Amino acid sequence: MNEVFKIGNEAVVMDPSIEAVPFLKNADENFTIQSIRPSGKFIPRFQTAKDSGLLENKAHESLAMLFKCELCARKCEANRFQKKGKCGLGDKTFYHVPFIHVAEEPVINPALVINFTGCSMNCVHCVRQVQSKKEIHSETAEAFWNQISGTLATCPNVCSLEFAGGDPNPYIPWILTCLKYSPDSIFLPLIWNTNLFVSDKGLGLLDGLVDVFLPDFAFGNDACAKRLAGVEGYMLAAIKGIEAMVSQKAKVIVRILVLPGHVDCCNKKAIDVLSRYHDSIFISILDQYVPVHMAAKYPEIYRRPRREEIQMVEDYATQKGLKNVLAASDFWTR
Amino acid sequence: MSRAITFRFCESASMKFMAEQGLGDVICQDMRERTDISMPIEIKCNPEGILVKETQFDFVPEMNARSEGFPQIRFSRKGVMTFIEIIIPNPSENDDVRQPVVSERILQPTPAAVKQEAEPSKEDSLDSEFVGYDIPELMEFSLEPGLSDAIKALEAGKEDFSLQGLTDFDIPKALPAPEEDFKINDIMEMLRKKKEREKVRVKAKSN
Repeated sequence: MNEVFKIGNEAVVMDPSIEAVPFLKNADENFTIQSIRPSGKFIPRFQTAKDSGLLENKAHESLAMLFKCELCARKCEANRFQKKGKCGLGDKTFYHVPFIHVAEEPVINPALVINFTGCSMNCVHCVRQVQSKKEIHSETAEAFWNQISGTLATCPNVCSLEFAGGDPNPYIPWILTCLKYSPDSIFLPLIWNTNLFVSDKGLGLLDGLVDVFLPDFAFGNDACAKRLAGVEGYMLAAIKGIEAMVSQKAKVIVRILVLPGHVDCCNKKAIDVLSRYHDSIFISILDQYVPVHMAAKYPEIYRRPRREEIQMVEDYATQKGLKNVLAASDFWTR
Repeated sequence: MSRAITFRFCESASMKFMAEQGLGDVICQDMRERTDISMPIEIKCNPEGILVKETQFDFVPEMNARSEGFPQIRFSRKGVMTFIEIIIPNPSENDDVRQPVVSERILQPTPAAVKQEAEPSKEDSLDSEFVGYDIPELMEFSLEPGLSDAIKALEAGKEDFSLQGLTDFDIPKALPAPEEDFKINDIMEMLRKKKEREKVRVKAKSN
């Protein structure tokens, strides 16, 4: 949270919170917290599911899955009550202190973000590896919601509740259990910020609960995904993941991080895939890549993306008919 | 992944940006003096985020950057903001025969320790900081005031020296989590074991 990565003449502010606003205004006097909110009649899906009993059933089903875990595309089938899965996670839950993010896409901004630790992918440029690792561990849903309520009290204009990471998918059972006990007063859209190395079973547990899926489409081919994230079968998992998210009738914002040296093989290929769903999804193109963690081992990504690379990705997405969420003032009324 | 904000500056604005964060005075001065601004530098700040020491490398040794896989990054803090400078080196063609030449300046004395300015020299080694241990992968941390004090305390026979206060950046895996207190002997023992493993690895490689 509030990390400023400075490389040459560029500075990338990661996870800017409310406390960073004076700094941001100092850097850019025109900075404002942009927000496009759902109407006052908006009802989060998880609250409806809580009333109908759907959430109870999903939570119960998800807990059973921990005995033979297939929550992500690795499908390692680990009994996480006895040993850790390939994601490195067992049956305990670790997350960073919830904070209010002030620079998400306007339609979900500002967002109360809960970053869970651990991930099913091992990206060599993962920025989480160099961020503060102060984690907290919560045993009870009551403790979790006390933290959330306390954070919300500091900023009544929060627009969304965002589960992020790492990746939140390995924690689905715990999150659904927490949602069962959510206060009725939490009336925020539920945002699921995930990588696309997901499983049909994991996503199936979220059906009817998530208001906005916010996946990262990181790679455009299996070879780059294997080389830079250590995963097999990325494209199949990503495509099935997009299809599942779209089929759930949730809103979907796909993020594309411009990856230096990989515009043609990854970013554009991802856009090609997404163009099939251009009526059903929004995209958000991110220019925030920083060469951290193990990036120095891979010469082509050991730099910031050039402006022309960022422009190429933006132009290609427009050419393919994809809707940029930054221009979607009618996002919540579609 | 969450969304971030990217700022782009012209060079003078970049210096001004860093200066306003309390990190810029010496950086600005050095960048003005330096003809090659792509030279990697190592910046140390005290807990208040005030620049206290700067080390210049004329290039980054292969094993410190490329082979280890970690870019050179430096942390400092001011208020709620953490600043992470990523230094991407510009190695010369003769990397395999040159040794790193290091010069360092103390810019503000810390309560803990003050080092005299070292003359750049091929014979100069950072080993002296570790009482004879050559741990090149820790070179970038070797002049950390807290650790320097710990070494001095060990030399003085003070074994129960807390290393709390080391910043919580990505310390190499040889060291435990930064939030915990350590006995200095535990740290030195781990460093010795790491050194032994390195010797075995180098020997196996040469065989």
